Amino acid sequence: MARYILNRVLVAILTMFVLATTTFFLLRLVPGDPMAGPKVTPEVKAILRKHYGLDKPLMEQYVVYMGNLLRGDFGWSMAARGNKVNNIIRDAFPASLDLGVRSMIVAIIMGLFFGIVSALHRGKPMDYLTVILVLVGISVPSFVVAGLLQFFFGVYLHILPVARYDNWKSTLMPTFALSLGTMATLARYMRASMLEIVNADYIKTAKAKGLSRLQIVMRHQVRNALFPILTILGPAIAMVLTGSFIIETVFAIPGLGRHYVTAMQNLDYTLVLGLTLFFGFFLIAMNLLVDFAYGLIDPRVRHTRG
Amino acid sequence: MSELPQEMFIPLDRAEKAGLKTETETIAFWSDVWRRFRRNKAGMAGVIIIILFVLLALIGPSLVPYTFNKIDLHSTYIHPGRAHWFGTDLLGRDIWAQLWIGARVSLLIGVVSALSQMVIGTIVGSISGIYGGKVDMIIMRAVDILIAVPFLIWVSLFMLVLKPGIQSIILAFSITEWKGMARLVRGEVLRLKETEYVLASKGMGASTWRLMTKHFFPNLLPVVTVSMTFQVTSAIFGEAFLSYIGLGIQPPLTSWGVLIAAGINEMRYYTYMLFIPAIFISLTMLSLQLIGDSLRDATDPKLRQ
Amino acid sequence: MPEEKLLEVKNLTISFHTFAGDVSAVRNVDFDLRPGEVIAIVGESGSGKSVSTQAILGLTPIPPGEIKSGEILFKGENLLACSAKRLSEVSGSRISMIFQDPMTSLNPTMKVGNQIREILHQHARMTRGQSAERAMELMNLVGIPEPKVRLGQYPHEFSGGMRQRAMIAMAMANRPEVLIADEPTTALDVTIQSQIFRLLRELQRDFHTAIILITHDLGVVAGMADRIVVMYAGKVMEEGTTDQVYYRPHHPYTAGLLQAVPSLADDARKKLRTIEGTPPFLLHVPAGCPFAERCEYSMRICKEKEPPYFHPEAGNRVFCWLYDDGASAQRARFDAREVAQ
Repeated sequence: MARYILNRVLVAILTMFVLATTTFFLLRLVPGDPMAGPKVTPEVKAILRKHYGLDKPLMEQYVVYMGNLLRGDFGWSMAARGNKVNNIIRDAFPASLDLGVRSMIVAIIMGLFFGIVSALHRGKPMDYLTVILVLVGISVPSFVVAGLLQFFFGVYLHILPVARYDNWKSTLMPTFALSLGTMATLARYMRASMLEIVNADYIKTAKAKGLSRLQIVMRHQVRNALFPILTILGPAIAMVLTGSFIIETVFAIPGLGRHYVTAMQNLDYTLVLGLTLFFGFFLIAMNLLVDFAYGLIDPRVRHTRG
Repeated sequence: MSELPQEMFIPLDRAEKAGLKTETETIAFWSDVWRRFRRNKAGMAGVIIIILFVLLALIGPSLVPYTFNKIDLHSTYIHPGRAHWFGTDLLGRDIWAQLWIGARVSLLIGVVSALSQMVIGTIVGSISGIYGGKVDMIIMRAVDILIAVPFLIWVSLFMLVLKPGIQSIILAFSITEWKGMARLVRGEVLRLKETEYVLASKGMGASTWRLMTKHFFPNLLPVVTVSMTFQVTSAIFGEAFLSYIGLGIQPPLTSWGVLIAAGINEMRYYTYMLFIPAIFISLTMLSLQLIGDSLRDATDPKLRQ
Repeated sequence: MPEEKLLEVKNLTISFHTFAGDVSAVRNVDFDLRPGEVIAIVGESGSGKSVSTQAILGLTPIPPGEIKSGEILFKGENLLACSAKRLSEVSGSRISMIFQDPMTSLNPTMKVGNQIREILHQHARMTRGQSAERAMELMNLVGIPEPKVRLGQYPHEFSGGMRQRAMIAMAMANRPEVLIADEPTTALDVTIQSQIFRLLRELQRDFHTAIILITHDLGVVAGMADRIVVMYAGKVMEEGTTDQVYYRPHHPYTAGLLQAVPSLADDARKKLRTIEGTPPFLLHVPAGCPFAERCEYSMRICKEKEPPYFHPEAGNRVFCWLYDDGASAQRARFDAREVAQ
């Protein structure tokens, strides 16, 4: 078991390293000059370039950057000059985290609920409702959902705020819009998992033991159906993360996603680099955690891992 | 004495016994797949919708007298009606025309990206599966690294570097999203490698190339086609995403993503600008999903009866 | 004096709806079981042996399955007509069942000890402390070593034979009157097979449990069964005591099965005799005897009409036209066949 953990951690570190390097060089290839601006004279430009270390040879810049990274320093933002990327991240992270966590919780609870209930009531109205929900959730793009929600509840009915993120009411639409895709995916997988298990031999055994339907469903079916779901938890987190770019932009939420979008539009390389790496590291860490959780919880895995 | 006539007790000969055989017909694989697919109403509905949209994409723009990028400042923001079936936008451009030209762009990006992802993914996956060992390990590590960052972030980064346009988008998608296909193919190849008939042909000295073409590819086809439908969906979504954040298709060219972006901006007063592209893109993605699901069920060997 | 019948299956007919049509898996099947008796239901795959016994505890998957007719009387009570609650009460306590593959028949994510205790909590109303004790006793009973350790382990940590023993422990936990064993050793090694059978024999002797043993192998039941029911294509072909079936098989199918059983006494060079052909696919129900196409002795009437059950000996019944008076010529041929000793 320990060897397995070590292995995964090493792979994670390697991945982060490669990610950082690739992104660094990729961004240096971007055409366009982040230093350009209406008031920027050649002298000012030279000073700026020096400040950002852009006057040094590429390899040196790389080494400096990597060194800084190890110390947790993402450098200075190029667009929001005078602002350290670390600070920007630190200020925007809470909003994104809040939105993300809410969405994950809603997605998990609702997704599992629909998945279980529809599997148990196959062919009945609940099943059809779930199927529709799933289809809508996976086919309608999140920004379309966001736009439609804003229009309907914000503009037309006027009951929910269209932007900002200050009170609980303003969290409703973004959370729903962000969770929909993941909710649909979880419902679909849970339903499939449950249906597969219903034909398993051990369910027959449970029935032959005289257990009640409720007991069989909860103790044997749902429990075993949850395991495969853990494996998609990692990608689900990634889905919520990328979804946040759009949702934050559409709802004007001051989070990391929105910063990412604007950083791209402004060609603010350090911010883009910093955010990409931040997201990357975050996801790698999450995936690692999910892996461990799975290893810990599933008894079959626990005993076969080195 | 028996109640039945004596001739009833004459023994049966071989021929007479043969007539009693009750056997099921063996059905050829692809015709079985087609039959099963056809029976799935949702899948068929999806196919019909997609065909309809493709047709409209091809002939739609010519059904109206305006070109998609004709600016007419006297006719801005007209609601859908007689003259302009789907209305006009802030510059007076006809939305019906824009929608179908945009359809061409989005569908083209979707299909071409999916195809190239399929090619790259299949090749990488096959190599990984067939050669195994060190090669496999290296490739799988590379895939793991690719997976660490969500596809959309990679694509956005690429789009920063490349000049915006259809080709760059296709290129960006192709380079970054083949991993799903590769993994799928690798899994299938590994599974097929162990089947008896492959071991048998290897025993008879079949070369790697022959193995690949005769045995693997035909068996990969079902999994690959199902996966491709889903890749098209994600490519269309990706394009819309990119266009929304400004890294995708640039005006004067249009795409569904561009239309939706504009629609979201204008939705307060001109809701049709949002609803129309939203409905069409959603229907397309829905249809593709239905087709993909239906194909998957139709090709699942466990469901054969 | 005939004893009270413990379990009576009467006129059971079960079909499955598939997209290709209705498959009649079980057709007008009857058999019964007396207290403490061991019967073996023998047949090839597709003969309907598993389907008919699964119906006893209501395990037939109802769609696509459908029980078209019949009664299953357990001490006079029809299990096909009783409430779900009543069926739950009976399952696992008065009638138990064990299945073919113990790996998939046990919940892989639940400790084996808990799975055994589950059945005790359900029917014996024990406390948690009591059930732990009892579970260990049961494991001892079925020959699982180190029960204390094993209680906390998962199915994948057990060997195949031990898993089946655990299943037997679960099944016997509440001292059932009937134990249905559906091919209990088919998924296990041959050496383990005899151990499991020995265990079943011991339990049967000690607890006077009636057993329905389902198997496709006529060879293994000799030491255990009192009576044998031979099934083919959803119908009972022959039923008799073990002696009758082994030494005086009346049905050509039974005779064929016996021929196919290799014996240690055989010459190594002797060819194994098999029955030519394959069992019919029951989409299209044959009008006459389903075995006619493969039978060496079939006659015109066999193709056209189903035979009634004849009784060539006391305690034996045969589903075959050979026992009609008009078939004496063919019957003589059958009686004179070369019988492998």
